[in-house]
Amino acid sequence: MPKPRVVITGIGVMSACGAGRKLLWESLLQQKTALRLHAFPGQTENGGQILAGIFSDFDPAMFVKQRKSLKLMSRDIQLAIAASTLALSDAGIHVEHINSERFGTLVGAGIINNELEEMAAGTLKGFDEQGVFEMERFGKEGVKSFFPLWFLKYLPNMPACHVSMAHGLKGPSNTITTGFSAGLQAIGEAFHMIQRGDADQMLAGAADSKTNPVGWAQFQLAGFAKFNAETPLDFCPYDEKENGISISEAAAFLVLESLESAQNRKAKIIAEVLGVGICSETGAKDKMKSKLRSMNMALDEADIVPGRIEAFWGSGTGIKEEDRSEIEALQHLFGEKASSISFTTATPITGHAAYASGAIQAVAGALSVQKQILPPLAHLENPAPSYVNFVKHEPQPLKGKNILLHSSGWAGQNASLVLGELS
Amino acid sequence: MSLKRVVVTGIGAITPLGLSTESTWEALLKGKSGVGEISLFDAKGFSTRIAAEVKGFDPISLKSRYPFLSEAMRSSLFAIHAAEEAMRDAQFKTYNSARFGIYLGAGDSGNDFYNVSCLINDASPQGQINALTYYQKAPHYLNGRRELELQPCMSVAHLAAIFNIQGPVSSALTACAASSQAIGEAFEWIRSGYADCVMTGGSHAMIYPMSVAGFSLLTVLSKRNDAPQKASRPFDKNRDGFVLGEGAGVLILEELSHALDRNAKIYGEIAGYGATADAYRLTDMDPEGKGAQRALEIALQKAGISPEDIDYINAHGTSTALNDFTETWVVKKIFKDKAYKIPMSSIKSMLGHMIAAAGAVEAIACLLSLRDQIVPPTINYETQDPECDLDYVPNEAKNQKMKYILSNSFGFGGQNIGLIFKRYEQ
Repeated sequence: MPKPRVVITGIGVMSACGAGRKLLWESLLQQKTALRLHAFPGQTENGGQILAGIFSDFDPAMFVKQRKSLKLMSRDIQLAIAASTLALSDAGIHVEHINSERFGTLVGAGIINNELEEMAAGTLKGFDEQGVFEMERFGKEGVKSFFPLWFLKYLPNMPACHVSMAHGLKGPSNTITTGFSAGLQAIGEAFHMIQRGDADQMLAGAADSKTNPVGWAQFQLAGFAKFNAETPLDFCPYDEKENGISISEAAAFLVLESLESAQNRKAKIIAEVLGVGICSETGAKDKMKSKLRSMNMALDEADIVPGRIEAFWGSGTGIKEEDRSEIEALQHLFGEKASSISFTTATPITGHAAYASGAIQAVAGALSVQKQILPPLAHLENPAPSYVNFVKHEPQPLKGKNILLHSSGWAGQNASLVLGELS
Repeated sequence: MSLKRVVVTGIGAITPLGLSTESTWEALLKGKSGVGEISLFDAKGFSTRIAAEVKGFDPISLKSRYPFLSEAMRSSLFAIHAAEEAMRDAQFKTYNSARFGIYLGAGDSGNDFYNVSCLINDASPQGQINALTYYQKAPHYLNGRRELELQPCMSVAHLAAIFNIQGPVSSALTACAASSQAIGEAFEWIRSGYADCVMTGGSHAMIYPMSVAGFSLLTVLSKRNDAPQKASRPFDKNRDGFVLGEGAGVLILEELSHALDRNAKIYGEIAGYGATADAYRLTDMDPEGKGAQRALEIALQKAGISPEDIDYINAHGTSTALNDFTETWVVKKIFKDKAYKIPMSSIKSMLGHMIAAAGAVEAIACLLSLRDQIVPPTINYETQDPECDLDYVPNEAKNQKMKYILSNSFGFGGQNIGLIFKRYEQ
């Protein structure tokens, strides 16, 4: 029995570009970046600014009706519910009519950051008058000063739980974690779940909000966040002067379903998922090779030769060694043809959404297949490797059917996905 | 394309009852408790001061062999320790790295608690936290390598590096169900031909202040501080919550013909896997257990067997009132009259709840039960709860003829997993 074919029938995205796929796509085509210089909360005077993509107008109450429930949700979870709701509505799915037991959820995740104030409420109680921390004091006084259900806001499997609860999805549910590639990998694993017959439909994607003081500190410590920026143009993946990530917050979900299920309900089909590759680097020397491996795995599964790939969506981390090794892998994969593959990424426009970045990339990639257009790679003045066919300045038509996406960064894990136009 | 058969050819464990599989198994059969007073931090002020800690683990040898583990978290070190045992046990002369995968259950390691607390204090001059100061002073208190190590995907990242594993890699982050889910997904990878061998299982080390604080606030932990070894008492009428445990269990899953070709020792076969979501409520299981029931039924279906074929159930059995009641209810619904005749025990009575490692160690116990035809007990079972009236194998291990075992795992937030293990036959 042949494996069922799997298609994308819905897209939901919340990004710094705004709510919904339309705003994201327009921003990409018009190279309208959502990155802004933001002052720190509580900052009074010259304290430095941070280049980041923050969805300032996000109103979670539009998506979560019960105020009480909102209190139990970190911003990551709120964004996840919003994006998954949009994805279902884009797919024309009314949850009252679904076969809930055959509808699953798969979320890519990392750690959800605590809110600083919330964390401070308990921890500060652990210090005595001399400013010495005492664990016993923390146990007695600190613990009870936290919001009682605080833990539930931050457990990393909670976005998936909330998404399945919000829409009543009772099929298989999983939360996976693999570094910044988690969002793309989640979509790949959901594809496998449908392929093997465990579900007919899946909501798959990721949500992450690291645009908060804890996140900024984290990325500063990790050594790859970009904070001395003067203009959004300073976040320029694949450019000679690239030197770090500009973080953004986002959530993106896709509705995946078996072709049969999509055809039965006469759904519009955005793109077909053809293959996924996932692997980890086995050491620093394996950086390029592991990227190449994940791309090859995806092509193998898709049963497609590299020559049939028309365009490539890159990670666009802004981290030099990540972006350069990705291009090197591409060159190995395509050989002489590497310079004819159109190359683009969404991150200069959306910012890098950390654990959700792969999901944003999948959304942008799927849109490019549906619209047969490749948005330009923004902020690129002096392409680091000049032989790459970056989509510059203007959108380009996507001529062939198939595209390859690759996502990596932090922790050395890679995910690649092949999407195609349904034939 | 026909589905492939999946067998287990290597196991490794590090638990509150021992630093290896066999020492853990021996203690489980003797009904020993791994619970004691918390020593990993000063828990005097906490309402719960007990946990099941891994004792006598010395990470120095690991760290000296692998210098890149200098800042690695306890959960990663557990995973590597158990993986080394499992790989030794599997006795590969050589393996094809590209066809070897990893799928592990993983969880939160919290934050760098003491340093973060001091940073927060320093950034709160008038008792009011200042975000900018927090950010500016962070480099004085925290370090980047540690921030990376805190990411829950680091266990698998390290394992890939140490064992040169170049095939598919993933981690399940589904709390109490994580490692059972990982085993199930690894099983699917091999069944469908995505890999020949997969290192699976899970590791977790959650005995740290923020997690004890978090679980305490949710009022799910046992407070039987005066009698730690009596605290974890699944299905007993006087249970008062679960006891946190820690550790790792690692299994090597292998495609049957691959294992036969190299004459590998076979512990048993993985025959079925079911996963569902309750979509009910955040902290509670659906009291009717519909999602749990479906997960177990899907696992039976995939294994191609009926409920009558199950000879033993390794329970989720957390020792919380709601879990134990619901699990019992679900088993009765599936097995009807036979439910009373199938032994069902919870090794969490001895190991505590190892959260993202729980299912992995339970899977290992199931395989050893198949090997030795003996069932580990539920200890601390003293007073019958009228709502929980099955055969929980009270306090003493018992010999049992077994071909099929069902293992249940139910996660916080309504994720349900059923796994079925089968005695290996040609």
